[in-house]
Amino acid sequence: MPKKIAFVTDKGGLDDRIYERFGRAPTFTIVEVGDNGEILSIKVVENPGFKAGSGAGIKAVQKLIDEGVEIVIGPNPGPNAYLALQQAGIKSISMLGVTVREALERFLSGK
Amino acid sequence: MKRLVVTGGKGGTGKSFIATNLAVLFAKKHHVVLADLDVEAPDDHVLLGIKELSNREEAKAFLPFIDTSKCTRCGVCAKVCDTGAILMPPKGFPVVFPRLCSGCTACYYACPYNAILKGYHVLGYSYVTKHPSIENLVLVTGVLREGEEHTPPVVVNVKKRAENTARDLLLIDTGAGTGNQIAISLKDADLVLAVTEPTPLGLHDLEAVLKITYEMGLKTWVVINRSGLGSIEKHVKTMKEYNVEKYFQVPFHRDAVDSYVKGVPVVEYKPGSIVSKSIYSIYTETENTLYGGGND
Amino acid sequence: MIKGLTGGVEIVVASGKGGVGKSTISASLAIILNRRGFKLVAADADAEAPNLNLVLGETVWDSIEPYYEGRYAYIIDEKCIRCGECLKACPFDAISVVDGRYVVNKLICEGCYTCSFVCPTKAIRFARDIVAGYLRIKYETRYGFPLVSGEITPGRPNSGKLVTEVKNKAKKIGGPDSYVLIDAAAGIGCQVISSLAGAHIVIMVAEPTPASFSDLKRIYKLTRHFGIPAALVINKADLNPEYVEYIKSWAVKNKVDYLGSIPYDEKVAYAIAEMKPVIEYYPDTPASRALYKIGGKVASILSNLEEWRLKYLPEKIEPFIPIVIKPS
Repeated sequence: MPKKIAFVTDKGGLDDRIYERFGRAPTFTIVEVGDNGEILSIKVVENPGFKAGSGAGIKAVQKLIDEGVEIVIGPNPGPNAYLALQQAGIKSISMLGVTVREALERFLSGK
Repeated sequence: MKRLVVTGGKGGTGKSFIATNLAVLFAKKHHVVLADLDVEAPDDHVLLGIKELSNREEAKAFLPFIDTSKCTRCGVCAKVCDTGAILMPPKGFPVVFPRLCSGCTACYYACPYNAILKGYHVLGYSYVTKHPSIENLVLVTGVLREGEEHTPPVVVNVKKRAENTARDLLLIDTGAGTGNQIAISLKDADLVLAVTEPTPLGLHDLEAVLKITYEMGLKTWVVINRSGLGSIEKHVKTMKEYNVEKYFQVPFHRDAVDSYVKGVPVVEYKPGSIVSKSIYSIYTETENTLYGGGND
Repeated sequence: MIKGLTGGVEIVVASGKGGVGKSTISASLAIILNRRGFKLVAADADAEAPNLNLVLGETVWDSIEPYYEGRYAYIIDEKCIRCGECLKACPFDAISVVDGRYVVNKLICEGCYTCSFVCPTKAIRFARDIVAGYLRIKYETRYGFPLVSGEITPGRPNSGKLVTEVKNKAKKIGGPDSYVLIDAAAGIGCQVISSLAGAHIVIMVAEPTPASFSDLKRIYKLTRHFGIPAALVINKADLNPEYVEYIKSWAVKNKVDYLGSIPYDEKVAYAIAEMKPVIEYYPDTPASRALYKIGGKVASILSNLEEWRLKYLPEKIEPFIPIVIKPS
């Protein structure tokens, strides 16, 4: 089964670095990965939490839900986003200071 | 009923000091409801020496509950929620985050299946307390719960209670700042007193407040508290720009501080003080303007 | 230093009550700490009444970025049938009837859409992406450190978000080894909560009056909700020495580190009028001497921050629990 993994990013793309804030990150880079770890598709979506007056964490997670994401890789989510991820059944993995490509490699190699 | 609102922008310029003293003076001739709408830091009762607030009521805001027998999981409620308080998970029913909810009711009206039930979220409390010794003075106090962020709905709630209690004069003491809770407190004022101080800080924040009252078309006078501390030249110039017809000065004097520390309004503590006299002149002018003077 | 920190140490100066001297104390502490070698960034977190720059004598900015936020409703009068549904439904009391017309007060409206859902003729529209304020930066103030300040347009809600932006900008400018000194707004509302979120130390300021003490206890309660260790400075102490003792004993009982007091000193007011921090304008006046002493204490706290935090961290975090009433 292919998996959709979201990376918390600024401008988005494989060479962008993981953004340091979750709910207020500008974009998510969503990578669809096949059973053998091959990249099936890459998509950059705007995070509605970026411009939100309040509830950025919830709005960010709603976007991930609507995109069918199963795993999100980025900074530690804030308290609201944390609860929302739990409710949504989305797994959150904390990684900072690396590019999306590096984060994906680490994830696929089991860290 | 007449409505007099005391505001100021910057915190600590003496809004509550002026409001409580005016309340005491007005109460000699009028029935006064003093509404402390500084719900984040309500102090009027402290300044009036009122030890205990009474007649507590919850200041509630709407909070959505999902009627799972009607909900089709369409997700409209989560989409319309501007504060991100509703999450539509991939499985199950919408989840509400009470802390984020501002109580706006958009989801309630937007739900196509009437699946949202009206529950409530207690944001704070309101109190109605009769002054222990001044017959004609009732204090309505709003208190935001520590940790709640939604100040405006509490202000709306407490203001309504004060409006229902007032019959002759509603004297409103607003919070600090220039957010929408201040505009809510100012709405429908017959006269606004903007309290400031003779410092560059006071000047900056006075202008922000005058922008609001000017835009709302409210007749506004200015009270320069602690006058003597610095120049008011620029204050006067700014007032002219915003069509302020009148301003008062309350001198910087130890009597004001002493009364404050004692929890007795200065007009009672030292009626003969120059501070009290200056407040008395504010009272006379405002009373005259609001009630036309002369008719007891 | 705290391990694993990405954005520097956050020090918040807060008081609940306005006008007790937060900005004066913040400005002086910033100067003292910066001179003692702490890589300091000052952040003015009172977007509704930003005053820290005025105390520091800075009115020209290196960068002014507009801050776009939210929307407000307006009513197309030709479509309005004056049914009054919007006025009844508006939770913020933002709609009035003026000369027979329904109008939205844009200084009150939060743009929540509620009125648009109840309007039977779709007469309500929204102005969007309005400039709700500005984020202002001075990269080097005359005292050497950077200053970040937000200013919200009067009447716009959500100043808390602008405060968060101000803090994030300050942390970014400062980097991981910096100390961000945050001058909070009066009150305990969204701006103050945004200031406190993520703070490592809160310096509470009170004056010895019952009103200030009442508000101090409310700020203190927030520090327990957030699990932030707190310290206390009493300003204008000689106004009421007995009450100073009373507040001090409260501090000891409640695990608050009492850093000292500042006497009432009219030189402070003169310094404000000159837009200069009092420790610069009158270095020898009693208030300045007290500020230097307190600054020294804060410096030693910051040098041993982990140890100090362990000592003054709340015994247990008292999480904020919303009170909810179910539908009947």
